[in-house]
Amino acid sequence: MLYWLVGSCWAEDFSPWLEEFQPSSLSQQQQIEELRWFKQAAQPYQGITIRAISERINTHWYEATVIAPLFYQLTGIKVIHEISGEDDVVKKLQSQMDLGINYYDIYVSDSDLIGGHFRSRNIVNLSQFMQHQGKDVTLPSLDIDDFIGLAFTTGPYGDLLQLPDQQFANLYWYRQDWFKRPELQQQFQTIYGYPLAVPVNWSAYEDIAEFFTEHVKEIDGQKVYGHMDYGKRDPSLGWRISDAWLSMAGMGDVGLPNGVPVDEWGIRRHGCRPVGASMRRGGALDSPAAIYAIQKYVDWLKRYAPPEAQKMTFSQAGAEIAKGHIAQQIFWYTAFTADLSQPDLAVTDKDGLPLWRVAPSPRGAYWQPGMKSGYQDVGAWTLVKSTPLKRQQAAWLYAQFNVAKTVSLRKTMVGLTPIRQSDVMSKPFSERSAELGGLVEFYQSNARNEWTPTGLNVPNYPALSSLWWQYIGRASDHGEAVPQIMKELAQSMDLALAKIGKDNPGPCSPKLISAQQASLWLAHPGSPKPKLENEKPPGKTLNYSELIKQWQP
Amino acid sequence: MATLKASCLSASLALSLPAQGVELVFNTYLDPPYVIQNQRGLAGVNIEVYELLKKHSKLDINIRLLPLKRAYLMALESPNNCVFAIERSQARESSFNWISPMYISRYAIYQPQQRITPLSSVADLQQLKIGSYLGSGIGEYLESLGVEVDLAKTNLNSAKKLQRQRTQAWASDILSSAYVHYHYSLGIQKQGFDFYSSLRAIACNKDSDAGALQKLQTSLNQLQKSGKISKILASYEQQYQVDLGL
Repeated sequence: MLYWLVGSCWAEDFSPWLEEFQPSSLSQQQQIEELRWFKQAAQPYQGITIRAISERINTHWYEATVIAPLFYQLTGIKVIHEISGEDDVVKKLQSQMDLGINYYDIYVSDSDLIGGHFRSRNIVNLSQFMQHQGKDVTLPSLDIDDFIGLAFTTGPYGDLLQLPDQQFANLYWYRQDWFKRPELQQQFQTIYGYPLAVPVNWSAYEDIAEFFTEHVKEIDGQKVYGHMDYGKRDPSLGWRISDAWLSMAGMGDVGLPNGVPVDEWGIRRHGCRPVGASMRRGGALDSPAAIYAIQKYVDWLKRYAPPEAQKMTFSQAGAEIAKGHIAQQIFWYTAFTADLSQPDLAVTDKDGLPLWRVAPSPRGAYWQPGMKSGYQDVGAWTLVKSTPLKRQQAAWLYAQFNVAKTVSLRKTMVGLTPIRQSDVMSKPFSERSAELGGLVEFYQSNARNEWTPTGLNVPNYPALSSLWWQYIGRASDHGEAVPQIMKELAQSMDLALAKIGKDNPGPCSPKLISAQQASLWLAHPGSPKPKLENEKPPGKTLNYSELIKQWQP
Repeated sequence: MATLKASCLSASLALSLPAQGVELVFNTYLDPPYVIQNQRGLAGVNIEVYELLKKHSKLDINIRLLPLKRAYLMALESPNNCVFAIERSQARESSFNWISPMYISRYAIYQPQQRITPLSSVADLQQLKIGSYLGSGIGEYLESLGVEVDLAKTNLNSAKKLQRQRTQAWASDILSSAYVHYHYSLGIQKQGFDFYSSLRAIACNKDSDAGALQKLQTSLNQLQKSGKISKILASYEQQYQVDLGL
């Protein structure tokens, strides 16, 4: 209450907000106009307390600790912005949708759930909301076309279901300072017959991993490893696998943002209807490419990563590369760029500039041009129909405040998870190129369109995603044979798809096609693909500057 | 509804049939007003939910009162044993089979009454030494935010530590804090700083009978949809004059 009283005394003085939200892509006068609009539009909702929840990354921490209190002071709408684990956010959202109890007024939900959202009819269609019930609380200067992640948050019929709030990608990460050392370059060339540089394919990644772990062993007196990953049987293991391993291996079909008709989960669809994940039903989850992907994941984790990595989770493994003993990581979440740019770390120089770089991740033997190249996470504001309308409207104001042009460039500079083209191309973001190790170049290129989230084929992410870690954990944590595990995983995925379709029938709900001999599907063009005679072609690397040129528009 | 089941139980479990003659043990712990021990035995929100579940599922479920840590270990180590009920979290996810959600718990930070500087965001919590209790998910959560947490044996003991100025704040489930206010005068703020919610769930041993757990989940879902569990919570909200915002 005290804060609001203070806020009302400011009247038309917007200086606290103008001071915090710098830089901005708007002029000061334009910022004042947006702030004034929020203040006026929020008047009918003053005194309301709304609850929002999002996963725990720097961007959302800034929202919860800086933006939410400022929004309250400006509008009188109090926000309890909770920060939690991603798995917890997913479970709460799913529980609210299933039970119809209003746990939260708005969620920042990964767009990975889009396939379930459009089928469930539990999510507010934002395109319609902005035209009707939410018309008076929709920011005139929202500029939807300026958002770079709309393809991931739009349903199959062209309606916007979620509004992007933050995006980060999975990119290859490596120690450029080590790769540049002449003695290491010479040693690598002698052993492997090609230059030590950014790996373009998995063969080169594997060679570099082996090189650092088994040949270099120590740098400056410290034990070093050529690879980092994690393997504990835990929900976060599922994301690691379904996010990127299978797509980079090339298991699915050509198509953006997701393979058609078989996506990177190995799920085949007919029209909008998922029809199976096992090869016997035209899927690819137990295909040679999938087995290749998971076998490489398991083998590299055991042979080239620090031994303790096998028992680590996502959050435990995240800090490992900051210790300065890892040479490369096949994919690394750019949401942690800010954390890895601190001047006191072993992976930055005396001026605080990164000794590491990010680049396109290497591709597996089954990958073909036109396929997605990696994973991009898009956290997006999501309204649930079970939330009362007035609370939806108040929450929608808060969501827009977090992405309004008044705020978004400043938020991008803090959390480094850009969502607007105007922010990505802005001078302040461009000027940080040297300190962000390739992140600026990635987002300013068209390549960012090849890094995509889970798509429309996955009809119920919470129900299906738990299968990944339970099965893959048996290979990583318990050492069971990969082909058998993938066979069982594919069968379980089929059964789960069938159950979802039976319990929630609809024109786009899953309906399994009849099982055939896998060999018949393998003879078809596209995914599932027959086993390659040679899954380890010659290693290929490219100089970093050459790779960056490929990214340039 | 079915999707909720599938998200809580593995696919193999969800496809199993309920077994006959299985005895489940709900290991619970004192956590007023969720579990209260009085002259007539056990009472409270969870006990009322337990009675509904037992009747609806027709399963043979017995309840056993233990300290939280032992209740947790029993569920970890013994088939057909569950801990009833704990906060479901990502860190605990792979350790149990979950029957979820029973309801959502709201948490707040309370300070002494004389304190007038309001907390404005979770960042402010990092300046405080905050009391919680052993086995509490909220203590684990605060620690993960970098907050200095002081763990007492029970939630009430944690409130008393604040009264004795051994901590600067007290983290508590809002309904539990309302219960403490109702029964004790400790000089603590009535209105706390809301900052977190958690799903309360039944955590069962991973080798428990799959059919029985499926039946339990189905019953819980149906009781949720019927509004009976919300009604129980609402009656406690009314009794202790607190709004959980549900």
